[in-house]
Amino acid sequence: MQSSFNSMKVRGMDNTADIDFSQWTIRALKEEDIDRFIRLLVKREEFTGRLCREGHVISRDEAREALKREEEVLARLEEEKARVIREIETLSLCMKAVRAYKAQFPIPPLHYYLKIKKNLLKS
Amino acid sequence: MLDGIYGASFFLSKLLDNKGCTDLQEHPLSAEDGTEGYDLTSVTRLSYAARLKSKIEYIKNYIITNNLADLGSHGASPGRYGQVIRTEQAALPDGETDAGPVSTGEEGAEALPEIPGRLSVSGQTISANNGDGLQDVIEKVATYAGNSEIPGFRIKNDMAKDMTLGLSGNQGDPKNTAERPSEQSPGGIGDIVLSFPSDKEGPAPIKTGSIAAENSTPDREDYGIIKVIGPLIKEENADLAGAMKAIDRVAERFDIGYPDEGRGEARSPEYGSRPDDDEISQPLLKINNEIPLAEGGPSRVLKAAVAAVNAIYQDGETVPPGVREETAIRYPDAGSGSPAVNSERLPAESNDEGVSVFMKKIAGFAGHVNELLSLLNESDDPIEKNDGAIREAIKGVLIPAKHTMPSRMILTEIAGDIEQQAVQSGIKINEQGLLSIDGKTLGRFLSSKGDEGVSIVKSFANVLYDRMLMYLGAGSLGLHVVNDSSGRHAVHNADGRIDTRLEEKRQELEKKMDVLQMLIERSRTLKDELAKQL
Repeated sequence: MQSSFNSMKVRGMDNTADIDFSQWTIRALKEEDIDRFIRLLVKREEFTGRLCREGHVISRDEAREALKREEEVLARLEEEKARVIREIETLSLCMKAVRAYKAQFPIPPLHYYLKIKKNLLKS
Repeated sequence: MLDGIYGASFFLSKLLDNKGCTDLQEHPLSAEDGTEGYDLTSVTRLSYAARLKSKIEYIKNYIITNNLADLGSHGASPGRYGQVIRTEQAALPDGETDAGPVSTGEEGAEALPEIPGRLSVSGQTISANNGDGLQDVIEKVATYAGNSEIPGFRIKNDMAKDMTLGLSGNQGDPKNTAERPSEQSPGGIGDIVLSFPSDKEGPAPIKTGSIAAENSTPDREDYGIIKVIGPLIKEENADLAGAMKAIDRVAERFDIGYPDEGRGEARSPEYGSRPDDDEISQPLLKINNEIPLAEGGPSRVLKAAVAAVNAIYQDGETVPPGVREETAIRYPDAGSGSPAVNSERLPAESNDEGVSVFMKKIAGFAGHVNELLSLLNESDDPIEKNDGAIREAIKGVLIPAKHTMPSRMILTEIAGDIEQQAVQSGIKINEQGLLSIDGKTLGRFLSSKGDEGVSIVKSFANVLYDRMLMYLGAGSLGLHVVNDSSGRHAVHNADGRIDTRLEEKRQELEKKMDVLQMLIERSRTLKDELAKQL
């Protein structure tokens, strides 16, 4: 009666067709490169949707393991999100500094640097 | 950190030394400050003092860096950055028009007589050939203001009724003489007049606000006065809350956002965002539409703001020998003259105050470089039109670094670096910071070499600018400067190309952000579902 995430076999996904949902998760977590990590999670989405729709039930132990992995996934995603936000902010500052550039007053205003410095100090 | 606290403590003590600080109980901090009804603890006071100081520094830097102060301009106005401009106050006799800013250099000082009731900076204070006149005046103001025997240098607590700052000219109010003060009442309501005698014998009376308006006589201004923003300083108030509000008010007036304080958020949710260029060019239009943009008006107002901020800042900076160095940023290997200095060497343990102090000094330094480059770029014929101005600007870069700016250990190093660059450009700099090229003065060199000379000096100026960017930490923005095809410098990104793809890059990041958000939401859903099954 019970099915599990592990029993969800995936087909039609190139040479990874036999990797099930959990394997996609494990494989993603093993990936150190954050962009690859994200790509693998995007691929995992195909199965996540099906799992949610079909309402599979898994054993307590499996659920515990899956929960642990999911928490790890979530932590990495949140960390990357924070990093991207910082990067966007810095990029915005840079864009403003470039726009502020004039031959007449070529040095960008002070506050760009103050903000950068404060961020650096905080980090 | 301890250094910063110590510096703030000293600054606080200076504020508390003022008589008005005993009025803390009578003028408690407002609910807006979140401390109403509380007797300030020493920690709170320290915090306020530090914040106040930081704000003052920031505003000052903002005004200077964005060239709002108009402390000197080229062309029609011969005043230079760093000089005090003799400005005719609003107290003009009937029928006379404002002549606008006039240099207080030797010629300017001699050319204009002292006129009672007008804002001027005493020729006694501004010495001949004084390129550092502003600093000189500021120091004098600070000296007097910091003297507890002098009544009047107080920071007002209750700002509510002084919203006009004595600037907008409530002509309907006969007491407000800020816009059209009378001979008998040269000071406007809310104005403060800091006076010091030209004979330097003892402190001069400082007249404030309505007291000045009602009691002052024209002869009291004969020896030169500086008028600063009125509500900023009042005789009877000197508590920290008042100071904080005063500074906030200045910031609001100039629509300045703080980097880490909420006061400036009216401008933009992103503090510190630079106003648009058109706003910079007409700052007062943005600040207060009621302020008439009369000729000379904005620059008068801005100069007054700078004077006010400078005066207070300097008061806070009046620290005994040694303390200044302690509160300044620690800079490894300072004074070596090594060109290897860059912003990355800012020590990690530096506190915000230290960075701010450092930036203040660099910003002032950068102002000279900005002006120099501006002069070099604005005209196709800098020799004819800007010879003297360019020379002065270059001196302005070097002399402060070597002789006048505080914390020489930083600026001496920068000056050493620039000097080295100058030598590589064939330019020599003597002890006075004057340039000579091939044994000639800069002017003669430019005249004799023509385009080649201009090219050399431009190259030198670009090096200066490049260095300034480096010291300012522009590396963290990935920017640097190269010459474009027209010979002018341009901001490039780190890979050496003009970065027209910044927007694309940001859009790319935003797309990534969308994906991340989707994954996060899905992961949370999964996590919740799994948790339910446990």
